[in-house]
Amino acid sequence: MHVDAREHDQASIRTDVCIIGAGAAGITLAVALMNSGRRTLLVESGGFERTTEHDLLNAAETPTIGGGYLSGSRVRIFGGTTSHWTGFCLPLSAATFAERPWVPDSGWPIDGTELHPFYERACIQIGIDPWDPDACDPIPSPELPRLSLASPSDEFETRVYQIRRRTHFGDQFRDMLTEADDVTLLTHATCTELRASERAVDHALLRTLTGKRIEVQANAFVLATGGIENARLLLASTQGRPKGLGNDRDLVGRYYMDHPELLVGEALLWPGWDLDLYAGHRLEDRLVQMGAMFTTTAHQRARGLLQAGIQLGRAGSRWGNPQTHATDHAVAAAAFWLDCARGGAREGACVPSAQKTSLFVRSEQAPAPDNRVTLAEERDAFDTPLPRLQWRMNELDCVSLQHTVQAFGDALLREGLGRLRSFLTHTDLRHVDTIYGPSLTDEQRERINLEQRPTILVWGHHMGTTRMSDDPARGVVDRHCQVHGVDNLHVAGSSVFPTGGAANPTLTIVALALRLADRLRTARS
Amino acid sequence: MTDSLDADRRFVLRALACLLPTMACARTSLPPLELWPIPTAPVPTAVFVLGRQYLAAHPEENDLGTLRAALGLDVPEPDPGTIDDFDGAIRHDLQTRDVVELEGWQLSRTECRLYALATLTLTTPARVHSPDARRRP
Ligand SMILES: Cc1cc2nc3c(=O)[nH]c(=O)nc-3n(C[C@H](O)[C@H](O)[C@H](O)COP(=O)(O)OP(=O)(O)OC[C@H]3O[C@@H](n4cnc5c(N)ncnc54)[C@H](O)[C@@H]3O)c2cc1C
Repeated sequence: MHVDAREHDQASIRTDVCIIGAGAAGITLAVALMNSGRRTLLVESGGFERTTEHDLLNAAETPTIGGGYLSGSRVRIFGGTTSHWTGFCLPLSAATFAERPWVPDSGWPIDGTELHPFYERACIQIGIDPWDPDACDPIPSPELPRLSLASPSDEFETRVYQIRRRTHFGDQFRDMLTEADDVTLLTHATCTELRASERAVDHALLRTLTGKRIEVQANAFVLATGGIENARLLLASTQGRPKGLGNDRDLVGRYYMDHPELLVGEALLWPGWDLDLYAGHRLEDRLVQMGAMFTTTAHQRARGLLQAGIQLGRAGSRWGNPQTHATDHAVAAAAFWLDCARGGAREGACVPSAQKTSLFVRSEQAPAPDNRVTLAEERDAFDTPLPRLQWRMNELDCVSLQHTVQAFGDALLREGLGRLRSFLTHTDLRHVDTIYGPSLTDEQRERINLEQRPTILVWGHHMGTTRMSDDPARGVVDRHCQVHGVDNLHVAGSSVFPTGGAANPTLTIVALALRLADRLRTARS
Repeated sequence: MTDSLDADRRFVLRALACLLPTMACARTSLPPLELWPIPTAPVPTAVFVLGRQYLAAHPEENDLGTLRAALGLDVPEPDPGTIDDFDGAIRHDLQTRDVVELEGWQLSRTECRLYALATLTLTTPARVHSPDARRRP
């Protein structure tokens, strides 16, 4: 059933499960709870169409990131940010879940294997092939060939993204949810506060831009409003808890992470590279596979690095615009000649030609308590304080990126597979501009390409602000995504990630939501 | 000096002889994004371009004796089989971060010295950008 809150005439609603936020996480949960014998209320701030007044609710202060980062990277609409995500999917690597002594505050309370069955279900939901847990590439549908993956050296492994384009969860599940008997989708209702008694949320306060107020009482509440709003709502829920709900230890909003991405250089690659795979291999109309070379865990451990994946830009693609320099042809010819003599340029790959590609890196960020969401002075239309994000690249983030690029250049040279020209050699990444990726104009992109001036791009992977830990002193939610000390409140979404790995978050968000749904289905009322 | 020049030339040419069969066995691959013809001539002139650039940036090595010593070729009859040793030397350069930047391209010190050696032995005059040559009217 669908109800527009602006036309709802009752001041209160009673339900079994109240999910706040209908994006990737909220919709997945609601669908998975169908036919569970529970009544679910799915509360969404926006409607089926995007409007300026709802977009304004995403206003935020982001002093260190340009391009309207937090307003651009979130959409208040049924379907949430999946209405304009790119569709890159990849499970987090096993190392992401482990405690890594060289990454402070790393380690999930759950093992990666615990997520395998949920990853499989998440893939089916998104319409992609599941990954073999022991391999790096998806198990292809029977009619598709398995990709032959190569990597330059032991330090890197190729892992394959699947990109399912135009997977708008709102479009995909609207009919199913609005026709379900046991789900009520309440649109245009913004949750402004959760009111809790001793150990549980009593009710959620919903408001519409037309001035209506609705109170929701439920046995279980799930916060699924995205990585920024999840923290903002907890911080703004101060009744009886001046520091905010679930924030006794001052952890809510801290450890914010995104995946910094950077054009880092260009490479001359000798024949033998399957650039078609690395630059995107179209399988069907809306499905593309794309390889990226990730540093192996052994290499990360040996060098104390965060995870990172190197992508190759095809000439003509957005970042595939490598410039030609005077020395390029000489390096191509001389180094190729030498590598053939060294026996490096592999297996008779000595077609006398070189390919030039752009290189960009997408990297993990170390969880850092000072990268955090707090509440600003300024308020929105509901008088709720705006979120303010304090974010910067820290030492480990910068060193890791530099070393990853260097290691890739070294691997090319050592193995006789090509040569690298780095844009980072004389750059201190701590002082490089950071911009919301999609806000770049063609002109800005062209300038970055031309001037080879490193610019950090972030895409709106909002992670870490309600991190998961079994220890309430180290995390906001426990291994089941339940807020410590609040029995009936769970959090869904990437805000629960203690570390972000180097893979895009949404597949994992969906997997975790499916896992949470299983828990809620079996929980006693 | 002439003897060692001949020895170097022999070394480079014999190394090339090892190389030529590999150059011949072309394999089909996906159409490259940007196809640059690379000369299959015994020594691409590009080697000399890089060799000259390296020597210009490192005039202290612009001398056969110094280069030969730096490459471990200061033995009477260098063995072209040492191409494997060069491979090892290149790996060692990377381990010790002895990397040379030519217009941003990351090359190993040994590889640059090999280009320089080829330049000094296979092109004339033997000294590239020599201060003497520049002084001539
Ligand atoms: C340009 C771009 C490209 C991206 N590409 C990729 C990609 O290729 N791969 C990938 O994995 N990820 C990608 N992402 C990230 C991806 O979109 C998010 O990870 C995902 O949408 C998060 O899901 P979510 O449900 O947690 O949050 P959202 O999808 O943001 O949904 C949150 C929902 O909650 C609602 N809401 C917010 N506040 C309230 C409130 N107070 N009350 C009621 N409702 C509320 C919102 O309106 C929204 O519908 C991309 C993001 C951007 C911006």
